[in-house]
Amino acid sequence: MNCSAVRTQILALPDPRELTPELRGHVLSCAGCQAWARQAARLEGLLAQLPVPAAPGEKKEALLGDLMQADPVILPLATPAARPGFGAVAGRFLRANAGYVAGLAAAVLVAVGLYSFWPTRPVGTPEVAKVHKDPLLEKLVSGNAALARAGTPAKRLEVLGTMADAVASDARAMARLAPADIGARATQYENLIRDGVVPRAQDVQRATLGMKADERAALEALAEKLKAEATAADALAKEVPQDAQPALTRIADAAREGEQKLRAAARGGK
Amino acid sequence: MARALYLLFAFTVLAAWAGAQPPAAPAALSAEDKLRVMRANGNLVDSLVRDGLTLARATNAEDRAAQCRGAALSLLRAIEDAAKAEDAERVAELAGLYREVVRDGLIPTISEAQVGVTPESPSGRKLRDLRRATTNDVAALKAALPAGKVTDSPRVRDAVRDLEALTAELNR
Repeated sequence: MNCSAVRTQILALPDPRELTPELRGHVLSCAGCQAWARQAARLEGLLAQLPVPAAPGEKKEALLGDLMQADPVILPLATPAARPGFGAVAGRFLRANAGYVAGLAAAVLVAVGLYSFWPTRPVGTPEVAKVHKDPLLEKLVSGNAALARAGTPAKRLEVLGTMADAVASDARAMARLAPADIGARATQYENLIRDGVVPRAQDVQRATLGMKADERAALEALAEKLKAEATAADALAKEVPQDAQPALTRIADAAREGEQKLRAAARGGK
Repeated sequence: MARALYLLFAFTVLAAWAGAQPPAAPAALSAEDKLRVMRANGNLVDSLVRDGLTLARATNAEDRAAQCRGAALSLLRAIEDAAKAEDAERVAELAGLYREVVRDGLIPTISEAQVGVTPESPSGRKLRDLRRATTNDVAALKAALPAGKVTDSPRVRDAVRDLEALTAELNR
């Protein structure tokens, strides 16, 4: 190691007063470097003793002011523009594609509408299932079940009245369609009135000595229904084909006869 | 733009109206169907009117129950005729009516008649026989259904299942 390198290294030390063993070895054997090291150590000691002047109070503010007047070294990050909301985006999209959107919406609504109107039928229930439904048959079956449960003459009378009404209604409905076939309905109606309604009305009268007001009212109401049936059958008989007229006349006659007997029963058999 | 909005509004209103509609009522029978049904059911209507008149003459629950089975038998005979004709839909329709008359007429009337009746009394035995006979009627009906078109019908299968449930109820 030559003297120049040793002296450069002594100056580079953090504290020239504390030499490394390598440098110390050279310095002890070299008078020139020894003098150099001594001066460097002395300079270091003198620097430490230098007084530090107090900074003026406004100096810091002045320095900061100078720094702030110039453009800042580090610029703040640019704040991104506020992101538009979904509504705005959707509105812009709708405005830009109004035709397509309206067309799509209309197609969806038409599809929904068609689905709503489309006749649905349970699997395994073919169309033919409907044509076996017979409202008269259903009423007569219900009537039989109700008669089985009917524990009083008044209740039986009420059910028979309903059954007779169903038969007469069916006869009127079929009078134009099957004029030759409604004779059977007339017979059924006559049977229901003469063998059912009238005897059961007399049962009601006999069952209660001194008929109750509600029972009398029920008899009167049924008599009124029979009167209406007679009127309807008579009126229809004038409009339907000749084949149907005798059956309707028989229904009207049976209804009138029933009406009279029910009114008599309501009066206590007089 | 305005036209598209009007169109959209109109379809929205239409769809809302359609959605609010009640289920479509079953279509009314055509004149031809009415006539065919009337003629097909002529004898059965006659029988049910007669059964109703007989039932109305029965005064006590035991007699009413027995007469109610008469009405059920009228339906049973019609079902057997329909089965012979391999008319599965008619079998199913009439089986539903048979079930109704047994469920709503016969069973409650038997129950009413059994009140205060001891099992070994003549009335008790009669009612028990009535239950047994009705159970046998259902079994005979099931046996009488021809395999194939009739038993393959989903409606008939449903009806038979309902009748089996009815039998269970009858014997409860």
